[in-house]
Amino acid sequence: MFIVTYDDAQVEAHLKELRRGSVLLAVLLVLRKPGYGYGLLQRLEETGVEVDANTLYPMLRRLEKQGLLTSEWDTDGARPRKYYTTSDDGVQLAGKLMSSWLEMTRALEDLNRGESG
Amino acid sequence: MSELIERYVGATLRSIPETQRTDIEAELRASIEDAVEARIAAGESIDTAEKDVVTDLGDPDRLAANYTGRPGYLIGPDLFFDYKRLLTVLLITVVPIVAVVVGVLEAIDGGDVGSVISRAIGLAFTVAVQIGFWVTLVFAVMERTGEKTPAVEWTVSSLPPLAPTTGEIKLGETVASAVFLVGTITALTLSRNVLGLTADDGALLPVFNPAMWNFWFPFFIVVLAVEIIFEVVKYRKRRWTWSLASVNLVLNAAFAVPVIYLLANEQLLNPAFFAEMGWTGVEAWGGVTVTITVAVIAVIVSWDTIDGFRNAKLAG
Repeated sequence: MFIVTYDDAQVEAHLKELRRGSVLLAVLLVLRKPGYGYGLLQRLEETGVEVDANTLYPMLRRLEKQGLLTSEWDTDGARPRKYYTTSDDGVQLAGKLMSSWLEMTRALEDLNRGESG
Repeated sequence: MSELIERYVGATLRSIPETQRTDIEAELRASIEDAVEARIAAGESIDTAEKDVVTDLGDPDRLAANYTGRPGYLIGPDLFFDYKRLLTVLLITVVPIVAVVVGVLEAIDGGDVGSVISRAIGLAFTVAVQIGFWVTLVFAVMERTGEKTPAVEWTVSSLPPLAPTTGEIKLGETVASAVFLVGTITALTLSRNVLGLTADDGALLPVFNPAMWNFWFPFFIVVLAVEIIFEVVKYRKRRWTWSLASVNLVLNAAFAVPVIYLLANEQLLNPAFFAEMGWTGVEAWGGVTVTITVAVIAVIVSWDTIDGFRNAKLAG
């Protein structure tokens, strides 16, 4: 009789892999309303998207470089903050990613129920 | 800003290029301050809050690498296989050649066995290190600058042909070996009374030292005869086995080791023969002829022995 135990690290790794692709989509969707660094982190966590600070902050800069986000410094408040907004290209991409995501969800649900797609 | 945060931001910015530094610095500070504020509002002390925020951000070098998009490896998966193949090929071909050439040159120069081996190994090692370093450097640069696509697209025609993968012994091989062995025995036997020069007084000066016939040459002839029988046994068995490879090793050694020893002690060749030909010092240890002969014998015998074991492995 075999007893298979997955150690927590392995499970964590799989979960991380599963979540990895969704973070990009989540960021593009949530930044349709302008957001900044730490505030964004909070918003994502509140809706259940887990992401590390050291992944998110560089990602914002990368997406801006790719033209998927636009940014603006807000120097009015107590602390200068860099606000990001999803660009038109970003919105378009988010649309495509979203439909693909929904298709995959449907497929997985079908598989889970044991039916063929 | 506290010292801890200053140190962290400094450590991160250190590996970020000038052009991006101010922007990243401002953003990073703001994010850290925001996070610390939130934790203080939740009841943590300033020191704990700062420590936690910075720990959560993690290794500043990694954070900086994420910011700048630098790869966290020297040579990536795209280039790695080309790199590995090239390095392997270069090391396998160049290093042994260098070792043998240096060894031969050192022996010709009059070195003893110790210095021959140490120089050969020393230079071989240096060459290997140089090759390893430069190939790695070139690929690391390629990883960071150019196209990542492999140099040559793999297609089905790149597959190696079906090599003798079974360790099988073919008839052609056996016949060729047997013929060669018979030829060698014949040559040895003839050398006693035929292969040589006639001296002024009409006596024959054979190539090989006549004293060899007291023991060694009969011994060699016996070994060669046994090798013929061994070839037949191999053929009958159809495949290489570990015991066959071992016997092969023993027979090769039984022939090669005494030959090299006799050459080293200047007993194998007949000095009178070479004196008659006008070549002096040919049979001397350290002379070109002897050194090259020894090297060739050593290489051939080693190759044959290793090949035997390799085939035994393939045959399972």
